[in-house]
Amino acid sequence: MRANAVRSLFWKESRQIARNRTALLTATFLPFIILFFAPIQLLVQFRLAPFSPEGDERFPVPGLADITEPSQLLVGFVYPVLFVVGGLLLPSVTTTYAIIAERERRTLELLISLPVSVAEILAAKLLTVLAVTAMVGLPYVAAIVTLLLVIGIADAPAVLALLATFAAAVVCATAISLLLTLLARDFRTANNLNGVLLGPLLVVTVVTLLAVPGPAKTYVLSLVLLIAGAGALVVTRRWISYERYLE
Amino acid sequence: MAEPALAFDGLTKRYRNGTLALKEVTWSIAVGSRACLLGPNGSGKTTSIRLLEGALAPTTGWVTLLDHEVNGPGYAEVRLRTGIVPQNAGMYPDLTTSEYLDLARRLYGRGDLARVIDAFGLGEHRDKRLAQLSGGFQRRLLLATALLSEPDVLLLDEPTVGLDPVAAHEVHEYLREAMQGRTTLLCTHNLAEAEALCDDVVILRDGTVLLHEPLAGLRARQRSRTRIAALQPPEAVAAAVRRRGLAAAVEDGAVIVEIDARAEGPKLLRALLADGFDVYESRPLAPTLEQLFLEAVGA
Repeated sequence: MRANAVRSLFWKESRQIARNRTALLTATFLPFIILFFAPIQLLVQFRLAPFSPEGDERFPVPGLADITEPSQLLVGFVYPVLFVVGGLLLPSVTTTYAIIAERERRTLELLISLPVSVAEILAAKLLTVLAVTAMVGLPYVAAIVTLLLVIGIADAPAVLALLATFAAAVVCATAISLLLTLLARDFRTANNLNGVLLGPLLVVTVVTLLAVPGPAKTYVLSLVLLIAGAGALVVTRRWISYERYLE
Repeated sequence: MAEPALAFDGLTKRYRNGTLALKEVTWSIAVGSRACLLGPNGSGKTTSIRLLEGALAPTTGWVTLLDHEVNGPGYAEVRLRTGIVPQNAGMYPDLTTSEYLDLARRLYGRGDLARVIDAFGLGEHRDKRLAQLSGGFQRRLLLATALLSEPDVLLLDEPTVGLDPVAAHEVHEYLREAMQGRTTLLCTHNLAEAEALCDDVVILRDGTVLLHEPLAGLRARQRSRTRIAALQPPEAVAAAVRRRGLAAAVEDGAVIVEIDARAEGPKLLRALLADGFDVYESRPLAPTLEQLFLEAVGA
């Protein structure tokens, strides 16, 4: 794979994404709701009506057993789940646009007349999706974790764990939606497949957070998501060819 | 044969849906030659181009470009020396002409944008989105892109299909100049286009090579024909010709006689004039590529 080719294609993808209002609107509206509005609302609710588990009333699952304050539930369970949902949803919109539009408009045939390989095309699309996701998602995540630090709900290690969870979810979703979108024939199928993907990954997220004790659970979750993403990338790399993409 | 610029060697291509596009085809074209790839729909023309551009992989056999196996070691370098005009490609609605050309320049690593924009008259359209260009200008853009890096090899897949006659004529003029000194494979349905632009002919049918030889050689193998027109009814002229043991047919108000105009024409003309026919036209007929093609494919 040639770095120059990927860089050039990344330049092309960035221009195209920046000019697609629908993709941009969807990509910015979703993160605002999931990564900013919902966390703020939950924070306010927890502040107004805090619960206080005592003695035997503690949660009977390993992941929540050490929770004694509402802030711990927010930082150790609720926010990781929200950040995973946001991280999983965000890239799928951009990935679908970047991959399917090329096929539906038959511009892929234009692209392959240039000296590029399918791996370079997909690498550039992957980088664009990650860049767009980082640009629209990270400011909200950064604002929330900063707020948590300032009001003293989370310490630095907890904030780092939250950021790692978000980053891992983004990487995982980008890789998996790349594979699913390549399998899909059109926008609707791609969106449906990406929607179906959310369910199992959310189950994995919740189970991991409930099953793993202590502060390590968010890192374990990040690792699980990264492994899932890496697996999808390996399958994509082995499976994809121009022929399949052109079909 | 001189060093092949591109070659198919025992190549079979079967698509994933089971369609057999090419069956053990072996053919090549030499460096510097201008060949046209002809064949009815579904004969494997576009598959051949896609194999050369690396978009498809052979099921069995090999395809090489400038002595390198496609998608093998060194192919990426060879690909930088190849310009391709794709068939019926979609056009980006969100990239402008100059942005697309700039992308091509970045990918080829060289090219003079101003030169091709000027040469192909794209100046007024440089800020237009690709999808907004007319068919003729889209084709000009594709040609400009293919020629941007001054390639050694040109692969042209139906470069004028769908264009009106004026736009097609313009593209022909550009092609005539672009093909000078370059190895070119022109895949087309347009036999007049192939005849005007190419020296060699490869005819595919049902995924096999039906014929591959220089156009001149193909013509030379055809029986010579002479068109004779007289003031008298052509049927009467034809009957007089047949009486001399020659094959003759009436076409478009004239008589087509299967003789070599130089060798046998004068003698026949003298005889017809002696018979009282007022012959006002006698000219040799070169077989058109269309006739050669139809004969080759058995249509």
